[in-house]
Amino acid sequence: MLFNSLSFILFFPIVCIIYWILPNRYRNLMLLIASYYFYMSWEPTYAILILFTSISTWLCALNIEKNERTKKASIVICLVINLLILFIFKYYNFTAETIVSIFPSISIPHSDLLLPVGISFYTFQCIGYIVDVYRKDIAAEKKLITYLLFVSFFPQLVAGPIERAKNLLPQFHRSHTFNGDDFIAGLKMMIWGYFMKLCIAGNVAPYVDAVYNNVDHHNGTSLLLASFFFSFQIFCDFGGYSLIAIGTAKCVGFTLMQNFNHPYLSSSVKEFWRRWHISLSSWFADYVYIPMGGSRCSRVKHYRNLLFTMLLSGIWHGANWTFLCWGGLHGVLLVLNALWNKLTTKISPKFISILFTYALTSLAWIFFRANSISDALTVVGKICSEPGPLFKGDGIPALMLPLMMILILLFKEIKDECSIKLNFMHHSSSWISIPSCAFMVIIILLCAEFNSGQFIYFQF
Amino acid sequence: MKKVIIFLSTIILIVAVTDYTIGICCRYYIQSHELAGRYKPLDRLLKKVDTDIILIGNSVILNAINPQIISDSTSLTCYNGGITGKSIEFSEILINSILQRHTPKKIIIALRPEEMGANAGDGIFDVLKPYYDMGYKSIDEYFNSTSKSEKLLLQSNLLRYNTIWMRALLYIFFDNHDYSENGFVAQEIPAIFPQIQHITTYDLPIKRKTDALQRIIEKCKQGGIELYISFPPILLSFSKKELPCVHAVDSICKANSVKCFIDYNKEEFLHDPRLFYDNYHMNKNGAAKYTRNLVQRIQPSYKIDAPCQK
Repeated sequence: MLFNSLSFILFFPIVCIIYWILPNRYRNLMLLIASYYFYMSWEPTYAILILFTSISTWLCALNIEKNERTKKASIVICLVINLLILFIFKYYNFTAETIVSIFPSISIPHSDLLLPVGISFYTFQCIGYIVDVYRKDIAAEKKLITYLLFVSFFPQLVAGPIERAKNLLPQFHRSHTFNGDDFIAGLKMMIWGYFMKLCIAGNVAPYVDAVYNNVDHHNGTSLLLASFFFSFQIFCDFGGYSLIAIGTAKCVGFTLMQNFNHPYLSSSVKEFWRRWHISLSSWFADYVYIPMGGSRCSRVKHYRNLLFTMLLSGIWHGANWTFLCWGGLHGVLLVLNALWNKLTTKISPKFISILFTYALTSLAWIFFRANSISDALTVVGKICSEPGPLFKGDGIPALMLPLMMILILLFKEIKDECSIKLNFMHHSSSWISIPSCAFMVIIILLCAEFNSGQFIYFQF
Repeated sequence: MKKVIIFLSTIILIVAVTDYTIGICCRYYIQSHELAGRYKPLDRLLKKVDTDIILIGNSVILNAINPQIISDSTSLTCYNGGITGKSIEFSEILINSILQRHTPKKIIIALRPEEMGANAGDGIFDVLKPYYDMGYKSIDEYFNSTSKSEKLLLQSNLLRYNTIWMRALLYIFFDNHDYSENGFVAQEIPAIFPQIQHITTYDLPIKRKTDALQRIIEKCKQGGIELYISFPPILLSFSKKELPCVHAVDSICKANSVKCFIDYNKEEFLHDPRLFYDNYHMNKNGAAKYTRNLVQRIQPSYKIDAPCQK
């Protein structure tokens, strides 16, 4: 079920009403049923997969806690199961194709398995949980229903945020009382999330697709605009989804972690990764980067750790060389960032740093969006050397509309970043906040692209 | 709880009032003004076009047939009503809506070779939403036959004019006048000519689409309108000699004595990329050449050296 579908618009209030009417002890069970229904509305059979992953992780975690002697074997078994499932569904074809391209004499059958929605998200959530139990950072969850709900909680099931057990699990044990302010705050987050997804990501998508799916036919000017649009499409698509997820959870009394914190206002690539997809970057930091030694080792090892973590982050996004290249590029940028910090303490004006960082991350997005590495190189080459008349796609108004929406977004991002007290939707007076929310709903209904389809991050 | 109820009910009230007001304003505007930019051809076809010949189809016809050449050589007025990305089912609705108001002498429908296939897509019908409940029977019938939820959403003016109002408004200021008065869009000659692409796959026709074509033929017969079907040249070569989709159209045309011009792989065009803007669309020179070629067949008395004007 998509957040931007009519079925979700009906599903969500029904879940909210039943949830708050039910006595506390039945609420988790009800949320679990709702979450599986939410997931099964996409592909019912794949619910078995998430159930299997959850139960195997739950059993292994219990064994780790109970049996000190076999805890190493348990965590290894659990990691193998999780990663093997992920490999079979996500990386098998990519690996097979790569092997065949290197050794053409070998023939490896192609898999026709459909990639389960959100598999990377819930697999990482399970891995994070089992490692935390192994490290004794948290106690293993005793109740199966609670654990199943932790993995499948519908707001964050298919595209995160990748929640940590120590943040989310205790919330399932707490009894929740209805809080009107929290509910309204959740709705406001959802409204802004929908604005980002439907009005910005949805409206720029046709232009980006038209240009990026035919890079040979477009000049540098059109490719530059498409790349600029894509940087906002990916942010608004994923950031919008995260906000809707966090808002939805808030309406049923749960607090999920913040996933984006004005990433395009970062003044360095290092800072960008503290603000972009926070739940994933902190996951990689906690379970990959820091265990490898992080920055508290020799300089060479530090750079190796950075590169390896970013390459892993790249391949996490998708089984394609373009994602690997995107991750590698970010790794190189982070190494250069670290080198620069070592060489000089001189800080350039913040505005310049922000623009420079935005340019670098947008350059990396080209590899993320392009259909192949050669396409990405063509885009970069043409942007640098081939200006020309702008491809207008569906006409100037079709370009003006998303540009106007991007301006609204930038205004809010800068206002929040600079803590400018100019609140509309969050104004203390209801006379301002409610009409502002209504205005946003009207803007969404009038300007949203409802045919924009699923969220980009669903494929990961 | 009281806070939440006040919050939600006030938002619903404001949205409902705005919805109603926007409905009145947009309805008035659409009834009394001609929409600009990309909405112009559709708006004209529905409200104004009264030419002897009407060309219907998607961007293939939009860039392939120059109505001026047809008018000059046949003394019949002609309008190119090609709308980018639209399907045969969309064309059916359009033809029915036009016939409600005006009966042309001839209609020429242009199709892509794979138009009748499942992979060709259905096109987006949303652009017709502003004309719902405004007296166009086939548009009303189409939306009334959609799902209940779709019909329910159509009751909201905000959703009905979603994205259209803003773009239509912006077109007033940013209309780049691509469309000439006769609806034709002359594609420029590109700096680099496209290369021929070889297609090895093919699509099978689907009944829903062939039925739509059959209904169009019957409707034209009833109205005494001469109907022609054309597959204008494209720069694609197909490994299969006779495409199932084209064959299906040809069979329907033969069964109903409708002239069908299968030109998508016409040699003189296929070997001359200079006549194309891209693989699917001809440039202005290609359009001029093809239009002359076509007129000769629909009006045999036409002289090949008739003047070419835009």
